[in-house]
Amino acid sequence: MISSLTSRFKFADRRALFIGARDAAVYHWRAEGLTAPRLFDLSDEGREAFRRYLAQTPKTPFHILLDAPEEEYRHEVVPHVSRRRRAALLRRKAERLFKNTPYCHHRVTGRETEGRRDDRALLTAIVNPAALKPWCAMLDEAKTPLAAVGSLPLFTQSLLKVIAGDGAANQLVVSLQSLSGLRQTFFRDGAFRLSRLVQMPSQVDAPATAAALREEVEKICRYLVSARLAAPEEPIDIYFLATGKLLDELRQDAPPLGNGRQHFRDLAQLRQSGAGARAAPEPGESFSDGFFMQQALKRLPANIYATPRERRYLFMRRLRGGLLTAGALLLLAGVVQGSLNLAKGLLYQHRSRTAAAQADSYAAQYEEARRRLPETPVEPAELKVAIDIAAALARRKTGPGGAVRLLSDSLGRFPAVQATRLVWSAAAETTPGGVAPQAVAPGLPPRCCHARLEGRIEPFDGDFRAAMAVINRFADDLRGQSATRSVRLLALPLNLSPDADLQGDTRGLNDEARFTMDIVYADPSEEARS
Amino acid sequence: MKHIDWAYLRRALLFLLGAAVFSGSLSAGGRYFERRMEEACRRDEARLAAVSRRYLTRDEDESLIKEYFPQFNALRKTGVLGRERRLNWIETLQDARDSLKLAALGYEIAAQKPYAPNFPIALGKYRIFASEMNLDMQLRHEGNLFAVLTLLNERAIGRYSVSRCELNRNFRDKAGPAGGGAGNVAASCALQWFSIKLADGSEIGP
Repeated sequence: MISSLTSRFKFADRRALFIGARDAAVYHWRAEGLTAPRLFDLSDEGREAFRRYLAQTPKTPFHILLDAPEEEYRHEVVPHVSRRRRAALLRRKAERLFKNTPYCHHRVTGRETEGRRDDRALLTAIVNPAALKPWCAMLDEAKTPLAAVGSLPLFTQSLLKVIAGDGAANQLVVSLQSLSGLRQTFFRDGAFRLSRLVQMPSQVDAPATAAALREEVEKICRYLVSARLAAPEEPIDIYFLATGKLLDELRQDAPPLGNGRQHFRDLAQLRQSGAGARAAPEPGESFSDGFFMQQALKRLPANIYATPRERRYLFMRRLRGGLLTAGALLLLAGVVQGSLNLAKGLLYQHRSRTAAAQADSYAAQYEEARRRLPETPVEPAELKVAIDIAAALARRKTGPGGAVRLLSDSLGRFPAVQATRLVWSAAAETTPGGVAPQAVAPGLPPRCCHARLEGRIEPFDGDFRAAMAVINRFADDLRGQSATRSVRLLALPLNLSPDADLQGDTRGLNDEARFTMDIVYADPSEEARS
Repeated sequence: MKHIDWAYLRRALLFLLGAAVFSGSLSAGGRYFERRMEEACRRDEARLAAVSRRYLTRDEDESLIKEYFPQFNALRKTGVLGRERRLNWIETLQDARDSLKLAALGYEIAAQKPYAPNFPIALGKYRIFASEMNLDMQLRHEGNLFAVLTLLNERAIGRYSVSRCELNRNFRDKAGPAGGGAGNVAASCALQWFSIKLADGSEIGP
């Protein structure tokens, strides 16, 4: 049977464990609807069977719905503070109220309408953890994810619209579960107020069960009024969930129950309308287990009692799913990226081969044509560049010939002027001897050269005035030549400047009429002359 | 994290790791292959473009060779292109000293260095190098200097330019001529001998 279960599991399957006061049952939800429950005793044998069941079935996450007398409820009023502080406050209050149990739950159900407008809170707990803990431990041991643990009375609140519709202020839902007994849950304005579980025989004898039901309902109605949970003048709407003979019995023999208004809900109809699929077989007629489990598997209620540690395999299942999905996406991305790269690479390869073949063909044709020409050490286009460079160097060739010719012409006209030293330089930017470059007129072409001439007047008879006149005329003669750009006298036989010291011997025995001048001139190319 | 059962996640983690490695390898391998092919493609297409250009300009090459190769060869023979001919320079200087009967002609040639021209010129794939030659001469008169330079122009293999020159007249005192083999004029000149090489400094051709 287990193997057949295994083979019929599908990815979208859901399953839930109903834990009652007497037994536990596993329900499966498949595409076609809810399947027959698999029952397990609360004894050691039953737990061992559940353990085997877990080992032999896929690790589909479990939802647990608990319907046990170990669940307690307290309503408290707490100050209206921030959500975080209120949660801490309610957690401390729950720990104080329900000791030695990890299964506590609290929720805010509304606010007071008067005074400080405090928050109303519901605190619930499974006061005997042994009712739940072994089942959670077995799930953890089997590494089966536990999605949520809820309780039937609290879950009923989410089914009120299905069971009772809208509107009634006081609603009492009465259901009979084969695994736990008679459950009566009272709601005030749609909010959970009270629930009571009464042990009932597991076999239904319709007339007797109906009578027992009425008796228990009458008791709780009286209690609700006496405890002021419902006002005496307000009606209490009582919803009986049953089917078959028990439902008929309840309908036929329906004497008034105080201020209660009785409504009868056929479970078969509810299950069919709620599931949209075929109804699951019931362990016995008139029991509501199947309806509640069908709704639980359909709605998947949020967790109330399971601790983070007990739910760790759910987290890890999701994490594993995320990892596998990420891995698959990575693989897909890698394959897509790799394929794209490969395709582009192959395209490049094809282009490359085509280009290489064409280049080889052109190269062969070129070489064939080139063989007819002499081999050159450089590319043919570079031949002319080398020739141009050589020509430019030739055009820029400089030498002192221009300066000597320039001076010779003038010296020939001034026999008294004797040249003693000539310093010539091809550089346009500096003057010989590092003298200030003001001798160079700005903007002169590069081939404009400099010459520094040092000389003296010979013979010199001590007549400085006559000597300086000769020197000035000599300079003027130089300036008059077409190649000359500038002539500047740097030193004369006598420095007559008022800023300079001046001394000498009037007898004139050792006097010399020396001078220095800078000449800047345009030098035609040596190449052109040669 | 303390509640995590790593053994439960081991396969998924290994799968993710394997997928990451496989995917990364596939992607990297594909990218590597694509890049290699792209580079090869670019290289081959560039080569094709170059060969095509050359192929299309072969007629132009032919005319360039016919027009310029003789001049190019002439420059190689005159030492402007290729290795400089220092021995020839020295021999020419010795001839000049002997034929002009100069009292002294000393030379000093520095190591060749790259030369940066101070005028605009398109160098293409070439570079200009220059060796500086310093000459110290004792001349009988100024004309000897130009005779030396003319001899260098005519006989020395290479192309030079004079960058600096200094001439000093040696005056004799009343006791007689200047001793020590000194001429009437002492000259000192600096010459730049140019040679054109390929841009990487290698000589052009054999």
